[in-house]
This record gives sequence, C-alpha cells and structure tokens, in this order.
Amino acid sequence: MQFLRKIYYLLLNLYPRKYREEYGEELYTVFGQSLNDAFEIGGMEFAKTILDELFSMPKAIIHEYLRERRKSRMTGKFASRFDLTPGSSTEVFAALVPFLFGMVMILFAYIGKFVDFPLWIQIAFVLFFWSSVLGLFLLGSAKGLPRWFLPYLGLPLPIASLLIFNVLLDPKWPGFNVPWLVSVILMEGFLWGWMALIVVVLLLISAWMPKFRPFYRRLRDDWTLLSFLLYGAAPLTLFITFDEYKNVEPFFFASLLMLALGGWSYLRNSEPWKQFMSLYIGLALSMLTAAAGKAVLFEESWPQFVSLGWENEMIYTLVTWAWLAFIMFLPYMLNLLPRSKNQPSTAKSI
Amino acid sequence: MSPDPVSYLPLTEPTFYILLSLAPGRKHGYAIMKDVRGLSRERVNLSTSTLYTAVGRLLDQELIERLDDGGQDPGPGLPRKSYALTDLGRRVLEAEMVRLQGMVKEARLRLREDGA
Repeated sequence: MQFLRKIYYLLLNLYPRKYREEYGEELYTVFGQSLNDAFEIGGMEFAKTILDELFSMPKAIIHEYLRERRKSRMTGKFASRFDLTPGSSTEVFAALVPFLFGMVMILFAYIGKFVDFPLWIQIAFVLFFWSSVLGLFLLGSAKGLPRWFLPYLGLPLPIASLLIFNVLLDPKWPGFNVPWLVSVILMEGFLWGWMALIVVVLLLISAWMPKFRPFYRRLRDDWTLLSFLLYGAAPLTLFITFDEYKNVEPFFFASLLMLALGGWSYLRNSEPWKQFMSLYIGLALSMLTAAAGKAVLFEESWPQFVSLGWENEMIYTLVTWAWLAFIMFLPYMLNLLPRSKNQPSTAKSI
Repeated sequence: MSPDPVSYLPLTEPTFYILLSLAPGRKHGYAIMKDVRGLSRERVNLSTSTLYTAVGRLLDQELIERLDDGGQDPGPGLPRKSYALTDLGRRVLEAEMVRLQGMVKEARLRLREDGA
C-alpha cells in the first residue's frame, strides 16, 4: 500500500505546480484514506478504487491545466508576450496609447496648418491611428481585460453618455428655474452622469455572470481599477469640451499630456491612495488647462458671443471636471459593499 | 451584489451531492467523498481527482469556501483544510431543489393524466 501511495505522490507532479502546492497534500491524504477503507472492505473494492483513481486522474490533470489557463486569462495573468508586467514601461505604453496617440494626432493636425500633407499621408495616418487603437482594443479583450486595457474600455463612455443624453433628454430638456450655476451643474450632471450608470451596469453584469466573476473580483480587490477605467473617458470628454473652438491644438495637447502623466504615475505606483491621487491630479491639471484654453480662445472662436463672457465657458469646463472627478471617486464605494468570506480584502482605503 | 442562484442551474449530480453533503456543516475532503457515496446510494462514487476537480470549480464559483482548521488537530492523516457551503451555495442548492420539485410535480401530473 505504501508503494501505491508513493506512485500516487509521484503522479501528483503531473498537476500544475500552483494546484499541487495548494491541494497536493490534501489529494495525497484523501487518496491514502480511500485506499485504507477500500482495503478493509476487500480485494475487489481495493482494485476498483485504484482503477477509478488511475482512470480519473488524467482527465482531472487536463482539466486543472485548462482551468488554470482560463483563470489566469480572466485575472490578467495569462502568460504571453502581451502579459505586461505591472508598472513596466511596456504596460505604461500600452495603457497610455489612447492619450499618446491623441497627442500625436493633434500634433499632426497642427503641423498640417503649415505644411500641406498629401492626401494619402493623411489617410494613412488616420488609418494607422484607428487600426492601432482597434488592434489593442481587440487584444485587450482577448487577453482577459488586463489593467493596461481598462482606459480603452472607458474611451467610448463620453460618446455613449452624450448619445443617451441627446436621445433621452435633450429634445425634452425643460430647463430649470434655478440660478444659472445650479442649472449648469444639473445640466452637466445629466450629460455625464450616464457614464457612471453604464459602469454600474457593466459591474452588475460582471458580478451576475459566473464567466465574468473573476473580472468582478479583480475590481473588488482593487477599486482604483474602475477609476482608471473611467480615466480613459477623459480624452474624448476633452474633445467634446473643445468642440467648435478654434486653434485648440496647444491646449488640447497640453491637456492630454497632463492626462498621460497622471496615467503614468498611476501605473508606476502600487499604493491605492497614491494611484488614485495620480489620476485625480492628472485629471485636475488637464481640465484646468482646458478651461484656461477655452478662456483664451473664446473671443476668436465665438466673436458673436463675446458679450456672454469667457468666464461662463470656463465654468462649464470646471463643472465637467467636478462631475468627472466625482464619478471617478465612486468606485471607492465598492469597498463598502459586503465581501465574500473567502475573498481576501486587498484593496486599501485612502 | 450577489449573482442569481438560478444562473448556476441545473447542477450535475456530483455537484448537487457535494453541496448537499456540506449543507449540515463543514467537512474534510474524504468525509465529503464518503457522504456523497452514501447520499447517492452508491451511485456517485467520486475518485480523489474528480472530487477535487469539482471542489476547485465550486470554490471558483464561490458556492463553497475552504476553511483552515487553524490550530485544531483534525486527527491523524486528516488534511488541515475543510469545506463549507457559502450563502450563495446554499441558495443555489435550494434553487436546485425547487427546480427538481417542479420537474417531479409536472411528471406526476402528466403520468396521472396518462393513467386516467
């Protein structure tokens, strides 16, 4: 019997290493107990137990390898060349592509004012930009939504929010009989608040569907991930903020640079409160730059509305910032939700 | 946010018996194995590998939890980990019971109609 145990012990080496470390001792003990009990019952039962164990083991080993692979994939640890080490320069680059490419696009547009690029160069540039973003988007989706990919998920949120606002509210927008500043706050809230709602729906789906629960657990373990996802909404929010303004390139470029720096600092830090503050400061500097830009450009962009004053436009941008900052803070509330007993609480509070 | 227990149904027979085995309280791996055999009247004989494959999946789905026996000595040759049903696991088991009851009820009605 000791011999059979030794063979079983050796066969346990065929399981994935992590699984073996976690369950190896238990498997070995339970196998030993099965053998003992079967031996006491009789020869036939003993033989049957050994055969059962031997025939079921290969299937279990394959299953564990597949499960480990699937699990790693969903927790963003899938070993491949795209498994980017947290905080590494490749991860930082992959995460910041939406910001950096935005900057390159703006630079290209700005140079285009002075240099007449042939049409094919312009088309090639735009195609390269969108195919890169789309390619990275598909890659991140396929690789189990790793951390670097989260801003890509946030990228379309402002467009979705704007569409919902335009379809549902704008045609029937009643206006409010309240002071101007309050109406601006309400209006911007109704405009951007949908982003929070969309993220809540995504969160509920990931919590609800067993397949996406590992992703949900990651978000529960590190609430700043959801803030980082929402941070990805900032570039297109800026784009919408600057809509119909003239000569925005220097300010837009500087705003995106602030966002990229905030993102860089987030990825290089490991403490939640420092990570969150990186995003907060990045967003604040970016939106303040945008607000200053709009103040400077207001007169040349809207000469017919000079009497309204550039201060109003600045306030709109600052209110947008306040809403974005508020929405980005909401993921912290995840820490207040009850946690399953066997899930360790790794998220530290700020 | 807790997932809908119905989304885990139907349970396979071994899964049902493992959860049922843990319903009264926590158990070690081998105790589950023996209990499942008894509950299923020898129909479901889990090998060690099959049991732990199922246990791993149930842990991933948060239907059961793995508990450390801590300083307590579980006894000679017994592993120091045991398993217990989570709240979600209990609700899934109850949902499966309701589903099975519904099936049996429908079958009884249909058989009675045929017999009449």
